[in-house]
Amino acid sequence: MSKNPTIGCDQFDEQVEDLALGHIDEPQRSRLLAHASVCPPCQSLLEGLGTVADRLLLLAPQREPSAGFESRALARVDTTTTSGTARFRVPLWAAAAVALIVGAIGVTAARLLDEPFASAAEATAAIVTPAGVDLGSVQLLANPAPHVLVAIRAPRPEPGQRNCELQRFDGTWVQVGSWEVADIAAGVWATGIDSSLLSATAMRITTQDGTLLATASFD
Amino acid sequence: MWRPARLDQLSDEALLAAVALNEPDSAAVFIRRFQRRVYGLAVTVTGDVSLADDIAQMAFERAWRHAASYDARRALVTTWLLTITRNLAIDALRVRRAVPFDPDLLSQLLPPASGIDPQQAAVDLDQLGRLGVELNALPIEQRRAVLLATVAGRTALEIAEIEGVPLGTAKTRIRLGLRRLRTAVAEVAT
Repeated sequence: MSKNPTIGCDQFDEQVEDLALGHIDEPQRSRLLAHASVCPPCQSLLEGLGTVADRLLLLAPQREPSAGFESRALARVDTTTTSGTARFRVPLWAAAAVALIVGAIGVTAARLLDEPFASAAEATAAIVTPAGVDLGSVQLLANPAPHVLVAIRAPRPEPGQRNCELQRFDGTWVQVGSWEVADIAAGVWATGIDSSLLSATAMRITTQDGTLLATASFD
Repeated sequence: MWRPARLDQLSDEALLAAVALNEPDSAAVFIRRFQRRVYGLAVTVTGDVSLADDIAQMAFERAWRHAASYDARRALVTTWLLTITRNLAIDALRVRRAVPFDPDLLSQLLPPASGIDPQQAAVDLDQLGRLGVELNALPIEQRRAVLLATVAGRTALEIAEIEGVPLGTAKTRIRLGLRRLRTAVAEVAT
């Protein structure tokens, strides 16, 4: 195992269960994580224990709540929405810029539609306009098949095609898909990609005439 | 062939992204998809159906508030949501100074490997099934310690008090149990 100036493997090993279970406070937590980041065996141990802790939650029995639960839970969410904390809408001052972008988005990846799944992202990045307005996020995911998932918080869209491109490590751009207003349904858009693009360094959104609307960097 | 999506056909991650965007009906679909898991865990940890109902509502409210900060690199949507639920349940129990969670009861309620729905669990069936088998194969004191530490979110000190054993003993039980389960999961993965 590798060396660390503040935490050694023995000390890490003594505390790794508490760390995986979330029972270690700062600053010790950061010290332990710093050690794991430079020590693959300890990192592997931490990840393995964390996976077990997560999976055990999935084994807990499921149970149908009493009638009306969905309405009660929704009412709670609606109360929060109307109390002034609806935080995902882009400010009006940004709307003009945002309208150039996708607006809302559609999900088009057939695999996403056919088989609900969960997976861990290979990379995640914020999507920003050239003016620096934060629009949402983009994820590169490997499972169940390589795909890119774009989520943009924006007003309703202007008509027109929007192209999504990914940049390879060598700097070349590859168009992976496009969407129009008709595709928009659920605020997110996705499409399958070649597995080599899971290591893409950047994403950009352009109009049909090549105008740059937004970018995201995976670095 | 591409076609427009329906909310109830989205992956967990895509649905949560829609919730973060305040897309109409996304919260209802999200609640419908996960309510049995969330409520089931809340009942398991609290042992109180009324309190569990309130905790489950709070969990969805909190998930809605923090949907934009969800990071798919760190957890599945399901485990992210269940962790929120568990922590809320623990907080509620601490306020009431009650410890109704019975790890033996949870062991009895665990589904057999053949009864686990891999799509609902969103993980590999073999891995989850093996985990359940290995969990039930642990010595009873280790199984109780592991379930108290994970599903019930108890610290080693709290487990020592609940079980009436020294802190070092509680830590050892958690350690041995978790590491044995880790080995089992790793074997399935390779």
